[in-house]
Amino acid sequence: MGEPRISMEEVNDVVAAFGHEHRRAVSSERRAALTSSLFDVPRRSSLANAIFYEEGPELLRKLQEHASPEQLGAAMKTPGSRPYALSLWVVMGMYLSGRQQVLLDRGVAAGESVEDPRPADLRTVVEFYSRVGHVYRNDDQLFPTPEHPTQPILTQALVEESLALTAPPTAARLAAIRRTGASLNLYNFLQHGEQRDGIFGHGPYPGPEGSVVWFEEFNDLRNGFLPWAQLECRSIPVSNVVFVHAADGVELEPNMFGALRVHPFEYEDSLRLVGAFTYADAAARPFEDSELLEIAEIAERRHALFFEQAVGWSEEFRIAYGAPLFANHIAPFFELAGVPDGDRIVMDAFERGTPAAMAGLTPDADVPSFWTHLASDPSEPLFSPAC
Amino acid sequence: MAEVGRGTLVAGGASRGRFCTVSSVEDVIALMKAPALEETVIFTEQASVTNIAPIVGRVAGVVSAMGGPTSHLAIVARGFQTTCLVRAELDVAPESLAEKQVEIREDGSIAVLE
Repeated sequence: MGEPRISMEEVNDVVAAFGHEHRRAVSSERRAALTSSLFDVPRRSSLANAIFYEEGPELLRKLQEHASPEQLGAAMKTPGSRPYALSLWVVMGMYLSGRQQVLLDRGVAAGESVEDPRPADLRTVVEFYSRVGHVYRNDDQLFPTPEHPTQPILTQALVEESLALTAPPTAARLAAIRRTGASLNLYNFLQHGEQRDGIFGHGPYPGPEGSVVWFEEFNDLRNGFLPWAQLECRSIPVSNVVFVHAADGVELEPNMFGALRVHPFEYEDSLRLVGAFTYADAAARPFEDSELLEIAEIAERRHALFFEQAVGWSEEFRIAYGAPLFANHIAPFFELAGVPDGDRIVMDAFERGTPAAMAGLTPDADVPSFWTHLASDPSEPLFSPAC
Repeated sequence: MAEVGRGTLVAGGASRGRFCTVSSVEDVIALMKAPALEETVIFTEQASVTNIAPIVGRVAGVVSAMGGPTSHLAIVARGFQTTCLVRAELDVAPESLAEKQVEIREDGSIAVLE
C-alpha cells in the first residue's frame, strides 16, 4: 500500500463531511426509526458495523495487494456495475458507525475529538474511500449533496453508447419498463433484507437538445453469495438491468445511498427517449419488451419466496443475517480486483467477527446507542474527529 | 355510496374492491393464497412496502395511513399501476369496513358501495 497519501487533517475533513451528509440523508428519508415487520434493521446493521470495524481495514489492505483504489474506481465506471456507489458508501459507513459505537460506549460526547485507538486503520478506510470515489465520480465530489445534486459516474462515450439504444417511448415500452422496475425494486429490496441495495440511480448527463439523461439500474440480480438467495425456482437470466431516460425540464435529486428521485415524479409526458439493456463484458445488449416482462415475472415469484422465507426466520437470525448481508457489499470489490477466492476471504472475515459482535445484540436488549446518536442534534458531528 | 375517508392518490386511477386490513405478515401470507386477490383493496397503517411486498402488484388498490408521493410504496405502486392512496384518514374504524365493497376515487376519497 505504501505511504499514506492523506493527512489526518484531510481524514477528519472527509469524516466530518460524510457524517454531516449521512445524518441529513437519513433525516430526509425519515429512516431513523428503522422499523420493519420482517427484519431487525438497526441491530443487523450494528452487527455488520462492529464486524467491519474489527476486520475491515485488514480486508482493504488485502484487496489493495491486487488493485489500487484508482484501478477499482475506474473499473466501476460502467452501467450495471457492482460494486457501485452504495458499496463504497458501505465501506465508509460501516467502519465509521462501528468506530462511533465503540466511542459512545466509552462515553465520548458528540463532536468531541478523540485519540483514535487505531489511527492507521481509520486512515486506511478513509483513504480507500476517497481515492476510489475521486476516480469513480466524474465531478470533484465524493457524494451528492443538496447544493450539488449530482451523481455522474459514466464517461460521455458510455452515455452516448447507451443513448444509441434508446427510442421515443411508446405506451407498451413504458408499461414494460415501469412494471419491470417495480418488480426488480421489490426483488432487490427483499433479497437484501430490507435494504435498497442493487437499486441505483445516477446522472444527470447531458442529453440531446438540452434534455436531461439519467440511469436507473438494478444489479446483483443473480446473487450466489447470500445464503438465502439459493431459491429453488427459476433465476433471473441477467445480472443487471439498466434503464436509460432522456427528458426535458426535469430535475434530479440523488442521495449518497444511491437513490435518485426525479422531479416532477410524474415525468412520463416529458420523456424524449427511453432504453432498456443489460451490460456485461463491456457490451450492452438491449431488451425487447417481452424479455423485460419475463424478467418481471421471475422477479415477482422470487420476491414472494424471499418474503415467505424471511417470515420463518428466528429473531436471532433477523440480526445475524447482517453479517453475510453486508459482506455482500465488500465481496464485489474483491471480484473486480480479481482476488482468487475473494468471496471466501470476505465471508471468512465476517464469520470470524460475528460471535464477538453478536454478544450484546439480543432481540430483547436495547437498540445500540448509535441509532439514538444518529437521530440526535443535526448540528453536532455524527462521527468524532481524531486528534 | 357513503364517503368514509380520503387521502392522496399517488398511483393508478379509480378502483373498486373488497376492503381488507393488513396488519401483520401473517395477513399477507393468507392473502397471497386467497382467491380474488385482484378484487381486493388493502388498508395498512404503515408506509413500508416490505409489509405488503408480495401482493402490492396484484391487488385492486392499496390504502395507506402514511407515506407520500415519493415514498417507496408510491414508487412501487406506480410501477405496477396499482391504485394507491397515501396519508389516508378514515372516518370509521377500518374493522367496520372489512369485506365491504369500497371505491377509491380519482379525487382521493374512499366510499362504501353497499
